[in-house]
Amino acid sequence: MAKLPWHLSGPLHVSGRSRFIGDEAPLSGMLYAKFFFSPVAHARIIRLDLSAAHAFPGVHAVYGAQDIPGQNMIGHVLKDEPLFPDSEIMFYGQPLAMILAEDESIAEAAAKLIILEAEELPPVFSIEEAERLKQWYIPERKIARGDVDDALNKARYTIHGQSYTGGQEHFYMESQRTRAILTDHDLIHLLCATQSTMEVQEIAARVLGIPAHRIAVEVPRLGGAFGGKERSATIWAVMAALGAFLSGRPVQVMLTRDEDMRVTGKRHPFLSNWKIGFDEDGKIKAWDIELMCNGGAYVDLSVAILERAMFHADNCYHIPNVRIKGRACRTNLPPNTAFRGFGGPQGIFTIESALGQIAKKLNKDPLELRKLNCYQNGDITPYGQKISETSALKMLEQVAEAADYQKLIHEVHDFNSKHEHHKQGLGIMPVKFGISFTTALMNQGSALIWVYIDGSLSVSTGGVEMGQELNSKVALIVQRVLGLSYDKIRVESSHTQRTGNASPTAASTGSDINGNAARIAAEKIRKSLSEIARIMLQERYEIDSEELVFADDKVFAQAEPDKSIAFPELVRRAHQERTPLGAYGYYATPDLYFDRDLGQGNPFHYFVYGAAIARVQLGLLSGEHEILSTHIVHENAQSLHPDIDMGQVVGAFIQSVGWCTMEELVIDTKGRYLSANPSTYKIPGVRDLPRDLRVTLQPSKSAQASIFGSKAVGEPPFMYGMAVFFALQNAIQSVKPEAELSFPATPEAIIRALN
Amino acid sequence: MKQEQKPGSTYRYNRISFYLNGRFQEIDIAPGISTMDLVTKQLHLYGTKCSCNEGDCGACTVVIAECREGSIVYEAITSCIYPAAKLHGKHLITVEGLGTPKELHPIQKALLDHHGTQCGYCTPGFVMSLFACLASVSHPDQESILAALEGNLCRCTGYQSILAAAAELSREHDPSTIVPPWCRKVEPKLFAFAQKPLEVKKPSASLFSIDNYLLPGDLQELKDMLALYPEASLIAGGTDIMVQVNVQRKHFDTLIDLGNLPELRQIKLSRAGIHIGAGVSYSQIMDSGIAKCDLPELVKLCRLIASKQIRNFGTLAGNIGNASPVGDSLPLLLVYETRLLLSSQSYSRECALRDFFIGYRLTALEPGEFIQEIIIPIPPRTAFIKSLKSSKRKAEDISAVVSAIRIEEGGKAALAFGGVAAQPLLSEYFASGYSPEVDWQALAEQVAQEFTPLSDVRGSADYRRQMIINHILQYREAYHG
Repeated sequence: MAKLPWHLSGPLHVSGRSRFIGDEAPLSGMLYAKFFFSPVAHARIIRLDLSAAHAFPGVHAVYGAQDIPGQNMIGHVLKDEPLFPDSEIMFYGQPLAMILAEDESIAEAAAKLIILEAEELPPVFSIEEAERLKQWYIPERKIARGDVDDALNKARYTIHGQSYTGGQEHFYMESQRTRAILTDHDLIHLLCATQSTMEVQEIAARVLGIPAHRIAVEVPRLGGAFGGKERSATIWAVMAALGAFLSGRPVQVMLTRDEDMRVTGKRHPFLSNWKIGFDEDGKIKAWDIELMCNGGAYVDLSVAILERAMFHADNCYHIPNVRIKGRACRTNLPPNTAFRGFGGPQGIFTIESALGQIAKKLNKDPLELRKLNCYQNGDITPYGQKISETSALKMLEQVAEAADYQKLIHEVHDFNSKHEHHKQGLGIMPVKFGISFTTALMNQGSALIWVYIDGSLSVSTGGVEMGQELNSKVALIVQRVLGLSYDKIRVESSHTQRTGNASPTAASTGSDINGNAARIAAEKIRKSLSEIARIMLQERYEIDSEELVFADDKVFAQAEPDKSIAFPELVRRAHQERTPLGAYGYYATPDLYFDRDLGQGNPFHYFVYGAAIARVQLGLLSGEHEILSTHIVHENAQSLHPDIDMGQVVGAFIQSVGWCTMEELVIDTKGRYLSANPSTYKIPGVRDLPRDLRVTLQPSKSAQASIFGSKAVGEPPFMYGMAVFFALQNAIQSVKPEAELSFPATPEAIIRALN
Repeated sequence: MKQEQKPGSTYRYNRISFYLNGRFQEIDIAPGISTMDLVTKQLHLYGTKCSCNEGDCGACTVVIAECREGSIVYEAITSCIYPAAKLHGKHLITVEGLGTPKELHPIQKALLDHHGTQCGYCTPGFVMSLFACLASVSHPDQESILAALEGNLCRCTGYQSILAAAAELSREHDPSTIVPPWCRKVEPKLFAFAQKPLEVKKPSASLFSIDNYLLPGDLQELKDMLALYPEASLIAGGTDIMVQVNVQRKHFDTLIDLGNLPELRQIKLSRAGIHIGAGVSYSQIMDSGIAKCDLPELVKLCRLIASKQIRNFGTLAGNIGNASPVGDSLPLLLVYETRLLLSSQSYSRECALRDFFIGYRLTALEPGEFIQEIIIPIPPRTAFIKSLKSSKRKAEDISAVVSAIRIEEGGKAALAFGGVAAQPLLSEYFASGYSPEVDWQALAEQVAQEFTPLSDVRGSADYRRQMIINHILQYREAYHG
């Protein structure tokens, strides 16, 4: 098998030559922005005195709400979020003023001189408290099918429960940052670490009161994002734009790690109350659940995240009678936001918790229980989408075989009977994850290709490269259409002036949407070059062929591969013939719709399936654990690049293990994040991998799959990490059957569950 | 910048000399500037990345080559908390030096082959950590590789691809193919590099966090400087003070760096015990034959402290001087009955470690004094000595609770805890209540009453109290097998 190509930016990354925003020499006259962050979580502003900061030597300007030329509004879904609050402070760490100075330490010192007089208002931090006060962004949402009340009444067994999952800091290695440069006076060029160029452009224009075409947003690459730069980047980008616009100087906004962790939003904590009805075999008859999320101070993406949690509250199980209610709660925390999985993990966690209780109640094998309830083709989801091409059951069977499940059960049982202070446990995690933005209009993308006169090619898409190797995949797609070698293809930065109105690179759809747009653009080029190639083949070899092959930087007739035209020759001739060497590609995902009032529709283009089994060992006295093994089987359709997809599966799994076992957000009574740096907030390190981690990427044929038969891979594998949580729960219950492990499963949580 | 000269001395102000990626450099620095800021902001080499600015993520990892006890060592350090003044006389190697996109170093190529880079932001740090590891050890085993990388966080890959690259490198390379010729060429020069004292003073009114940074060249210089600036703060590795500077923006008038003094970088043996100089790094202790033989539990504990690239310049003396209630080494040093040699310009005195801690982050160190040596009496071979640390993450984490125990054949026993009171403390109950026939459970519950744990971000008071009991029960299991 041919060796797969390297990461497109890889040689730059490993040699330290890849540039991230801020990795450039400071521009002459550039000002550095720092902020005065609110020291209270909820308050009415009486007076904000900026004068001493203004007067501080080296300070160029101090800006606040009163200086905004356009609208003081950065809200997107709902118009609820100001750039700077002018009356009501909504969370601890909310920026109230921006200081621009010659260097960062001056700006920071000046920020300390700002005086805030405010009347403190009672803050709300928890879901429970927000629920009590009915602080919801929008009325309750509902998805229902069948008659859940009747089915619960008739069910042989019912269990009531409550589940909770915690938040998670993104911990992208590169903090939030934007550099804003005025060019030619009327264009503001934002070099911006965002996943959403369109949103930044639209909102910056709105805040400055100028047309969008005067804001150019460019993203060279991101040092990680995971959803944390989908919406959360906007405020900092707009700050930089405002600073440059008002001061006329280049402005750089770059948060420190502590600032970033303290003031930006995170994964939503979710609380759910549920009832599940089932028969003596474990067949689920009814599932009644209400999901509540902690949205933070502004709506941000909370409603869409809640919706995805609701869409995934069935995971891969067919349940005839379902009622899923959802409420997004407003609290006085930084606005929680997108994070890999986007509510999906939180929804799935709930039903998997319920299945765990059913297995315990009926003393039934957890694998068999899951197999019994798996979707079959033809089943209808609670939101009305018909299941076809399901491989949920197949994935469960394959992972059981790969892990030698029966042997595992025996070994764990044997170990537990022989050890008093150490216990082992198993966790199973099947996954069905829907692919598409559930807001249908976002499922569109564009690409622009230029073939230059020497035969080299440049392609731009609206997609943002953040380590997921979207750019490598785009290059592979263009390569496949035009037969160019990998190094002849340059994938450009995402830039609003080349590919405008780009949807965020999110929801795992980056390759599907942008890859298809790039394919369409490349096919246009191929079509126009084919006509020239036919002429050239005719002239040179007297070949008359309809079937042309573009490969190895050449074009030839399928029947006569030895008689070819080199690609650069072809391009030069096309230029002579005045044939376009540029093309625009546009793609919109077909057949998506969802009626929010009815809670019914076809929100997903397709589903991704997979399953994981984890085995852990726990020290009952230390509360510490080790993941002995994890087996994952992941349905990967016709992968564009299995090594990239493997990196996504393993990376998502480990990120999820962090969420489930060690990443714990702690706030104080004032609503201030105490876990605001890597010494107090622990993400997995190299020693936290399972001792034995085996991932099988299972190729499959799917009529629904996207670009060249491939399927999205960014988010679905995040679900596998929950197998580790449930394995720990299982280990604990082997000594204390009634114990419930709280989330995340830190040593402290484990000790608490055991005592 | 103005060059001040004190009459009759060889002090050099502001200017340091070192090698950077094979080239000699002589440059002026600001006091307290970190190596990372020097490299990125002053030298415009952007491959070294800032992510946390407190030594916890490893994105800024670079490698220092220096002469130590007659040989050249290559060590990874987190450049964000490594004061640039410490570069004086050393060879700094950054990711740019190792290879270019056209001419990749074997480490860089292996990471590409295994898709060990995704967003790329952490990658230079991983390259440098692997470089230090593979330059120091031939065919490192899995444990050495994990130790080398435990201080490098990656949020994208899940590490498996990086470990695959490391395993391949370990199989196929040894230092002869890892250390490039231009590094070898600098090595002889590092032996001859003059260790001149250095004073970095802030040039004028500005917002530097540190006004003076003094780097004495020998012990006498240190004593003279301390006499001149008795209120100066002392810095050995700097792994804590630099975090205070970077993150808490703490201001220091004068810092005196004793990390480069050859006299303080030795481990010696005498009748009194093992003498560990104040400038000895954790890594030096871990590599020391004396420590491995006579203080195996200390060596074992060192592995759990911080990360490799911090252990390479963090010191035991710093852990003691910092007097944090959760200092990882302190309970073990307490049960070792450690003594400290404290010196000043005019005298030296010994102080038992148990008398050194006098309150929350308060010590018995007088102005003008410094910790010169840590003296650990060699315990009898039959003594049962063990230390336990509870933290959220296995590696590179700060303890919620840390403890150590010692039981001797005659029944003499000691138990110390950190993280459960304002300072690390020996348990009175345990020392008096232990006997070979003791009911451990009852004793553990009694000991738990002795301490006053608080709730904080690392753990609740209830959890900490429970862990006092659980640590003791774990000792019971270990002791009785």
